[in-house]
Amino acid sequence: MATVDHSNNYIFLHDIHAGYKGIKILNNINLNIKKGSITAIIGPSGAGKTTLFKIILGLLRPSNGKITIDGVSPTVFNKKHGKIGYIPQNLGLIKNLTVKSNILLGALGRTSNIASLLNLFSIEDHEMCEEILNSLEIKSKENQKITSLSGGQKKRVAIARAFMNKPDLLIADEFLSELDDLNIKKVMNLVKNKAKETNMTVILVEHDIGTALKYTDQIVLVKDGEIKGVFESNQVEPSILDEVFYNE
Amino acid sequence: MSDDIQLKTTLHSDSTTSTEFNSKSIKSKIFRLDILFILTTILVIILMFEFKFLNIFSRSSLSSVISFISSNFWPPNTSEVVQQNIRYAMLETIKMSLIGTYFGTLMSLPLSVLAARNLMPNYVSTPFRILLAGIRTVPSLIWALIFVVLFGLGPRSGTLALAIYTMGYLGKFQYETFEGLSTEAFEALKAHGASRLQTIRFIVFPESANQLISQVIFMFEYNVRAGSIIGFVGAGGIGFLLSFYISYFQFSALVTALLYLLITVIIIDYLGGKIRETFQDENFDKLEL
Repeated sequence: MATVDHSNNYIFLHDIHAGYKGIKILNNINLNIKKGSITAIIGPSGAGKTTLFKIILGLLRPSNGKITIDGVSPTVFNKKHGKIGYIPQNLGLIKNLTVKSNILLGALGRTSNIASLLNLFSIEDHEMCEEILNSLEIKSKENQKITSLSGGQKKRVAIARAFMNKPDLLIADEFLSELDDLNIKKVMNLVKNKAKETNMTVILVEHDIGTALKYTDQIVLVKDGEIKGVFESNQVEPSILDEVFYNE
Repeated sequence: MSDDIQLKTTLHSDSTTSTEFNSKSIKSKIFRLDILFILTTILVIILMFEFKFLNIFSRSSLSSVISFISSNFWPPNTSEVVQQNIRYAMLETIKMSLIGTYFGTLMSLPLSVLAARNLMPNYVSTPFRILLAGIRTVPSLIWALIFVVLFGLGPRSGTLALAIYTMGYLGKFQYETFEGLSTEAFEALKAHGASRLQTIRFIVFPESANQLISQVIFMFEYNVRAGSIIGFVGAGGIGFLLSFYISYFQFSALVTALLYLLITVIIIDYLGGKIRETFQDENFDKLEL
């Protein structure tokens, strides 16, 4: 079993405990994620993956333990840098808005309240949106409503919205589910290219061990609220992951 | 192999037991409903005796009712003067409803945002929920009476009554719609650094737009009907005319006014339904039930 080098930590979690209404969900989580890496968090349903995500995003506070992103707390990181791209499980797109309007929402963090109330985004933001629309091959859909798109196109809009925030950290919760192999390949190549281009750190929650092995640098196995192992994707045998996943 | 058969048998016997259990519990529920229905019927009959309901069906009462209706209500008074008065009053009711719905909606939107538990902390939402509940507790007729006392007779008081009542009702519809929105869009925009105001502008209103429009149209239809009642306390509109015809025993003109009201309500219901259809979810018609 290969272990990951813990120097050059970007995201650092130490002894994290979390629960909801007296039920323990996460227990003694210790994890280090390097800058620019692509990490998959895998585990069965109810393992605590989404809770772990929400703690990293600063949407939930752990009951105990310490978490830092680039040396500061998630809330400070988000407020100060505003550079998190988040893709929720069901994408969280606004059905009644067009593709372009949905993508522009990724720029809200750097737009003033008054300007955004009047739907006024900067020229730079509009240009960046055009660029993203072209690079994700959804330019022809820019004026269509979300409800008229296919599953793969919706995922690309969610990625585009996340890219619009110029993220240092991209977090995606099971966003590859319901996609066929070809679309998974397309979507993951986009993410990988962007990560390489901008040194963006990526964390994905993934059900499928094969997909995780193929597209990520490291795999974190979560089960029963605990981390059961951290593996480098190019060095671990799938059978070892299967063994930990199913027999622990 | 024998294990398999055993397992299937066990499963089969389990499902039989559960079916028997279900049918027993359904039967006992039906039995309880039967008893409840019989007891309620007995209670209603006793209360009807108390109000001397049977007297209505006595031969003398029935014949006097029939002769009264046939001699006073029919045929409707279709004279030009009566029709002109009714058309004017009916139009006044529609105008009152339009202004009342417009201002009621404008006032209800900020209140419903403040009353929604997913948008505001409890210490903010609770007082606004109580305020909206308080407004709904008072019927539109009483609001009309209050405004007639404060601002005098006429459509102005009726319009104010409709606006306040609309605010109370729409406010509740709206905050319930907001609370039903998926949390994922909120989480995504919050993670992207959006403020509360921005999430309201870009998630709450666009995501609930279809329902909000549908609710406003419903409220307008409701206000046209309510507008014909509040006129009875002097708050203008067709109701004022209805009360006048009743007070002066002009029943044939009353029938004409009621026919006008009926036709107007049917037309507004139809148009409202058509407009609502255009704002319905695109996938609504594709649903298989």
